[in-house]
Amino acid sequence: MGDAREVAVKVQVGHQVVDSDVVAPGGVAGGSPPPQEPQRRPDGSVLVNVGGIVRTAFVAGDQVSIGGRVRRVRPVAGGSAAPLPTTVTPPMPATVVKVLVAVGDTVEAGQKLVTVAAMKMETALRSPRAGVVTAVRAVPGQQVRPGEELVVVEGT
Amino acid sequence: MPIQRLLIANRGEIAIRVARTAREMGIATVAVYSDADADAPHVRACDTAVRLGPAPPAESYLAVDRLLAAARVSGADAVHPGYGFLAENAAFAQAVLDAGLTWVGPAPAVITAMGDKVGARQRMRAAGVPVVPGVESDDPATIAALGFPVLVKAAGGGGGKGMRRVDAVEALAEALAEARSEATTAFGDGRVYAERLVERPRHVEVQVLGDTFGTIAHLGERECSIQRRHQKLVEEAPSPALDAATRARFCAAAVEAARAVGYTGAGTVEFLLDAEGHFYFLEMNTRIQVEHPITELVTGVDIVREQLRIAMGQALGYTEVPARGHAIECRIVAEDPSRGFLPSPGRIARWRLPVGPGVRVDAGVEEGSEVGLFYDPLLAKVIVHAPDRAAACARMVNALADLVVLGVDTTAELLMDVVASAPFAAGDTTTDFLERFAWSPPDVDAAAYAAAWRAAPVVTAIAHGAGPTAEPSPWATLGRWR
Repeated sequence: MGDAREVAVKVQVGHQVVDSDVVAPGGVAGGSPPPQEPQRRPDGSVLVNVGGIVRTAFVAGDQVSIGGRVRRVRPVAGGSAAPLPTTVTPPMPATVVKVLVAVGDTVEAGQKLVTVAAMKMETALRSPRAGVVTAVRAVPGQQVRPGEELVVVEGT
Repeated sequence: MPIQRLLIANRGEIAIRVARTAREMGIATVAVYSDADADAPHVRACDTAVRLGPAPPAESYLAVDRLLAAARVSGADAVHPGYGFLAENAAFAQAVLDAGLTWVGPAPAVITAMGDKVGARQRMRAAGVPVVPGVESDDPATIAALGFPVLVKAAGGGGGKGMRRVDAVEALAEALAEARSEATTAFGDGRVYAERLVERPRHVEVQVLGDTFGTIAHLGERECSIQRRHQKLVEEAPSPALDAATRARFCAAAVEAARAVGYTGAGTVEFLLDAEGHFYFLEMNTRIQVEHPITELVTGVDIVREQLRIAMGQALGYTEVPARGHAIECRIVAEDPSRGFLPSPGRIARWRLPVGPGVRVDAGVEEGSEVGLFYDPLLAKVIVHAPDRAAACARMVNALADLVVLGVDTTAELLMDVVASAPFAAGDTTTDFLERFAWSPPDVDAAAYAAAWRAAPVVTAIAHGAGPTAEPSPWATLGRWR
């Protein structure tokens, strides 16, 4: 593989989107010191330049923590925000309580599709987009895990 | 009678907290654990440990017979229940006593009396302690006569379960049915009652201690108004809402409440405080509270030590301890506040705790711990103490900025912003605070996050399944995102 850093790609940080190769601001304006490259420390943390101040960042998987604020960082194809998902999956291992839609139903973004229970709490799984329900795989009482597709909604 | 060996019938941060004081007092400690907790920090915090059973609480931390067997095989002569699980279960307390062991808590009859919320209201009213106007009945017509809005509550327990706000008579029948059903599930007791709703109240409580000689002491109040789903997230002592005169009446009422039931051990009398400074008895918790450390910091009293001293038959020797300075606690819970406090189980991939003058952390997990779905998602409590409230706020914000928790989502960032906010600084803390605050994660210097992510070693980026690699750049694993 070549130097992957040359790949032009954007990344999404929380809900913000930036170029992957931008340098943290603070060192780029005319006359100021050259941009400071992030520096890895022996404990796996990374020193980064945040507005001209060196801060310690901690990274695990797609999570980055700086100064008590944690954001997920993901590469984004094409530079716009990630495409809307079409499937609904539980965020944690859970039990299906109710299925609120059927194949063929037209749903709005944010509409409740399925409720699941975990940690004695019920949580509604909502449609990530407006569209039509093309598959329902959830059954009340079923144990489900993250990644399992419970409902598929396709855009119209 | 002295305690030689204490079995701690709990897990997580409170088990570690209790073990710490027991060790200071020269008391040997026995941990108990479920299969999910075999490698948990609380197991290593004690001198010995006894396995209870599988992960589900009913087969481990709630299994009375298994806990008693653990006490027997380990040679324990006393049981500390912590909070939650069996801490307010009178049958467990009685079983401990029947086994010839010392129970670190109030008498079973007192637990029963205060655990019945309806009975407790009646006792408190008889003792002259103000209670929220209400009716100990689930008859719709009787409830409607209170005037709306009302709060329907479970007689058998607290924690927001079986609780319903009702704004009009049309919604009453359904709310009563729901509350009964929820209360039956949660407490095995479907009785409900109703109180007139106190609008935008504060939740203020008083720490009391009672010894076996009839002395009742108080350690002042805590304000715990910042809540989600009726569960506390931020607590502070003293309350910013009480002046000296109200505080004196307030604490005296709490002492009367404890005296009325012949209270022994550590307990908490909870009140609602309305905007006009009227306070009403809410309930009494017959155990140590999650938020006890803020009282410890402002009074210098080790509440667990007092619990153990009282259980050993020693006299308190005081009736009140003045507060010095201001303390705040933030609960770091594995939930995602940007998604309605959805539980966030997972493995703690990174774990760094704040340190410094006036900073205390009571934690129950460590780096590598699995946060599962079986137990309370409280990971740690960050507690600060400073000379005044403004200094305590600043100290808390700094402490939370230094806290690193990765691998699960937590309440830490939300609470950092809460404590730094203008309404919190102004002491405008009512139980609807978080609804009014309407937090979402603010924009950050995204370029710095992207740069850090790009530069970090990939070791933990494999959580999603690629297997360990020494590759220095996360771009090496870009393929899976394409």
